[in-house]
Amino acid sequence: MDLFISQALNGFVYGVLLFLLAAGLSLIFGLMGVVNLAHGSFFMLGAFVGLSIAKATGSFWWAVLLAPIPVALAAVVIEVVFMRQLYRRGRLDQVLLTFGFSFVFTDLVETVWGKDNFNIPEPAALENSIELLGGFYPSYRLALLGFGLVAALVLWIIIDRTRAGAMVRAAVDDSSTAMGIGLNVPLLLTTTFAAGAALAALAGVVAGPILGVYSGIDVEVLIPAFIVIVVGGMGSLKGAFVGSLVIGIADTLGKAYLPEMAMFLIYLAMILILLVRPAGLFGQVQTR
Amino acid sequence: MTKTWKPSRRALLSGVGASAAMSFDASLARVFAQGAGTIKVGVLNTFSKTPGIFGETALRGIEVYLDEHGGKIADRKVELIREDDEFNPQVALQKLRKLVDSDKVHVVLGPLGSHIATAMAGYMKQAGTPWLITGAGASALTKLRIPNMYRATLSNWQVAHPMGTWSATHDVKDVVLIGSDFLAGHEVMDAFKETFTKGGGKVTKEIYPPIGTNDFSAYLSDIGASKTTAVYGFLVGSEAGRFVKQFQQFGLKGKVKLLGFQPLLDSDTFPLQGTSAVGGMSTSIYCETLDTPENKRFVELYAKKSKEFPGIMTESAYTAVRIVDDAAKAVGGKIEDVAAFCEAVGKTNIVAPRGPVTFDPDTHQAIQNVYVREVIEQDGKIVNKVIDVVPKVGDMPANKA
Repeated sequence: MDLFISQALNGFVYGVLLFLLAAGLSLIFGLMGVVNLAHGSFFMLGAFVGLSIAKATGSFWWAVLLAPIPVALAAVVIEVVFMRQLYRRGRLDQVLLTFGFSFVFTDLVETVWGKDNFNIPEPAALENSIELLGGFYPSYRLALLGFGLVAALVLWIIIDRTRAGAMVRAAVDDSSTAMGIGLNVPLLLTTTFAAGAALAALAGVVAGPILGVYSGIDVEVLIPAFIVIVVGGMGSLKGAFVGSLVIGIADTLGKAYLPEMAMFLIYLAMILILLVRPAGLFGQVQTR
Repeated sequence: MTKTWKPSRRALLSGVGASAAMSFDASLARVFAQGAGTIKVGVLNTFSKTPGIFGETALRGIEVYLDEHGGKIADRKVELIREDDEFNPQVALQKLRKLVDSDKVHVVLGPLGSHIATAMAGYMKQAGTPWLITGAGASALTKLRIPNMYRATLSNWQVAHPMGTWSATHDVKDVVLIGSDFLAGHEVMDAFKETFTKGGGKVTKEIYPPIGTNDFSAYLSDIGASKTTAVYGFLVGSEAGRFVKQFQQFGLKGKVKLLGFQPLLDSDTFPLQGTSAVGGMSTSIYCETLDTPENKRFVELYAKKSKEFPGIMTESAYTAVRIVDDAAKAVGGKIEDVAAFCEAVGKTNIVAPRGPVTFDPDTHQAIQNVYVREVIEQDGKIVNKVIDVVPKVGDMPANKA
């Protein structure tokens, strides 16, 4: 297989992983105006819960199916019990609250699972590599790429083609008007927050075989996810998707062809995009 | 008074004599006062963050030794005081001052990080407290010639350069180097490169991934496309775990020979690597399946603490306490007599689980065997097996000069 194609595939795989994380982050920001610093924790928590489920059931698939549920429930509790109290007190307080939760989750994870590095084994059928264009490529990564693209499509249909999606979009555009025409915005917030968390947890599980599972991964994945939503445009699903692929590919090609500059290549990409489009690729210029 | 007082030569001499006698009495009194008391062992290691696992395994080695010997060193009770350096030199110095100045430990064991050891060096030289390094491998540390510092573990050069020679004489024509982008990574790669190219091998590419890399896909695609016969790698902890696993996933296992520096293929990474590690080869000063009575006993003792095999950090810490114990016994338990104690440490001549250990009289680097190991599956467990031994490897020539 041509080296460039193989590297591009690597970039796409990383990109779809980023997308699963960034999609929720972006929508939550669009709806609430809050940068959710605990979003990486949802990813980490999902990975650890998935790890335990995979160990208990011996099946990767159960982990994928079940792990997002408790994480989504935790997100509902956070939103309803804690965040709501702070909606009147400005965004900084909310951001601080999510920051606090990220510490709580780190401690929780270290108490329950310890500080070790774990691995969620990929399903046996996807363990090795398959022949592709005269070369070899890991089957699990190909499957992950397929899964990520399908997930993106499903999300796009939900947001763009369903009534629930229309409500979310309305609330993102202008939440007070949306409330004025009778939309239950608080319910929308809770649902989106929980759905975003579930998506992050799902990302945590499927990333497990590649990135591993450990305390501290929350911050490591959150930073590129932030870059993705800044590049793609805050609050836009399309932006999160394109941003993820741009950053995923920039990072991979950087490592492959400009290894000395790989560390800051994604930041460079971000700066260049922001210079040309200050609101990100698909972001709307805030008029409020 | 305007005239400054000048002591006569005689007065000066007697004064010096008196103060010397006094300090001698005082130190003698201290020896007797503390000779029966506890020996305080300061353990400065990394117990948090990602490398925290290595601090824990090192501590386990110390505990195994003390359990084996009724919690005593030279018949004196031992008090272990552990401090977490957080892998941060500044934190390490604060904790070190606490250990030496306020806890008044008799000996310091640690650290893991070479950057920590470098930061500690100046202070330890002044403090004079006996110090046994159990983890930090930076080759140049023993060039500092700190009289109270002994490295009871490997130096990067010591373990890396024999692999270069060995590979060049065992059908490895060309390699791609992949080393974690920090001091040790570069030291190891340089040491390997030197002996490997001298033996006729060719280094076709050098890759230095940043610390914290999880996904090696970009590098592995590159290695796959390069048609190299072998890869020589140095990555640590979870990075080693993932690299070897992904090496297999990218279809390189069996096509490209996997060679590495000790932590790439070691007992603490095998749980992450599983069978993907099988067939990989590395050098180290220790091998968990060494067929010697000393090692068998050590492995048995360790089995009470953990279900895994002991790794190099555990063995190094275990052997370091053994060296402290032996030296303290040699000076009749008076570990407070720093000069005599350090001299006794320098005369160490033991057979540790890893094999024979002595110290270089000039640089205080442990002189020991380097083992070429291959990963095999044995009774359902992934272990290293010795396939070749380079006996009594010392310190690097540049340090001796």
